[in-house]
Amino acid sequence: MRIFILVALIFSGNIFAQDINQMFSQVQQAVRDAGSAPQPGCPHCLSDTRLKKYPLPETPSTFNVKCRNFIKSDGTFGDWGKMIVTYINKTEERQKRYYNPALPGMQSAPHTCPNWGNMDYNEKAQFWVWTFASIAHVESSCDNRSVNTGSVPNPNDRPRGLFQLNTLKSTRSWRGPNCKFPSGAENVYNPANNIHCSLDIMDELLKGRSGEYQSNGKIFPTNSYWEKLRPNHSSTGGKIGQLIRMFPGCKLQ
Amino acid sequence: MNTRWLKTLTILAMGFGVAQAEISKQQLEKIETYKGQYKVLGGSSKGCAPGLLNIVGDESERGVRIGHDIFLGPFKGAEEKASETSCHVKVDVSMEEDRMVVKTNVDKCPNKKEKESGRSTKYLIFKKDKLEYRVAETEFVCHFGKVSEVKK
Repeated sequence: MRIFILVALIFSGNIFAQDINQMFSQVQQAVRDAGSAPQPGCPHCLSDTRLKKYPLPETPSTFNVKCRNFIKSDGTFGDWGKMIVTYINKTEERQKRYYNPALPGMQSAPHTCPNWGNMDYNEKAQFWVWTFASIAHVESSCDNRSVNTGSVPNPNDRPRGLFQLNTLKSTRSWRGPNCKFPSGAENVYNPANNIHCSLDIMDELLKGRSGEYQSNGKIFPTNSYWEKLRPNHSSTGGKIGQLIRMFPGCKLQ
Repeated sequence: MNTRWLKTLTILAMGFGVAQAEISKQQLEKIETYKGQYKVLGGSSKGCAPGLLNIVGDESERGVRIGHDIFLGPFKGAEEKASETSCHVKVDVSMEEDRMVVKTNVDKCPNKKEKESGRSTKYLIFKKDKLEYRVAETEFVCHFGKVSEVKK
């Protein structure tokens, strides 16, 4: 009887070992099938033609035609869009903030991008280009020579350009390293200056409480540079929020 | 002898001028006591927005901001030379009894169409738990009341 039990145990052990081996190889296969782990950053954002493309809606009432300098009609990045992606991918710290899987307000209130948790770096890069196109459309109709001619505190320092930044260097240089370009309308109209400074501002906002603006880390509603993204303007980002939410990659499958 | 005396006087005058154009450490400490969240009590424009009064920026850009639309500084003043794309800009900052004064002069502008040249004088007047922001040339005024201290 004892011998029988011993043989049975050894035999079952072999079966158990076979099961473990089989299970292990199945796991290995599953990992292979799933593909490699995502690489940090977005190395193919500007070059891979196989990526999904999300062109801006073509109706002028949605996005001004000049916004195609951010995203072209075929969904590829325009010059301004390339500047945004290049900026984000320049440092690991920026990538961590802009591609943060737990970015506040994306999947929680106000649900800016419900599919954020399922999006890869490529789609997130496209999201950010779309987002800046949305802000620029509302701030300036994507006209890089736009100027606020209304009542402003200081007429020497009118907000100008795509994202309506201060004309004077002295009043904007504290906002970030890319906001230190010289004073003057022509310098603020320069899309590269305007875009890079605005990305510095957004970067500070994404730092949340530890950032210069002591914000909540959301794109909106927050203590933003852009008035229309502030809580007293709208809890859902107003017109800018509407446009951002139109990004097709944000829709849950 | 006369020349040497004149040189000494000039250097002293220049030194005095620089000292006047900057905010001293003592004056900065006074401004810091006003840090905190402010609400709008009244003003001449919808451009008056509630916000945080804080000291912001690195050494040469350091200044005081209230919310996002009002910035006074840099404490050390600033000057930019005119170029093909920009005007000559001179910013002088000083502290008087109860107020910070920022004088900005923009001239020698390359693009006459843009109407960039001009002068502005901004005041930030400190009162007990209250602030007044005023631009002399445009009569832009905002009155603020302190809501809370700055969050650390």
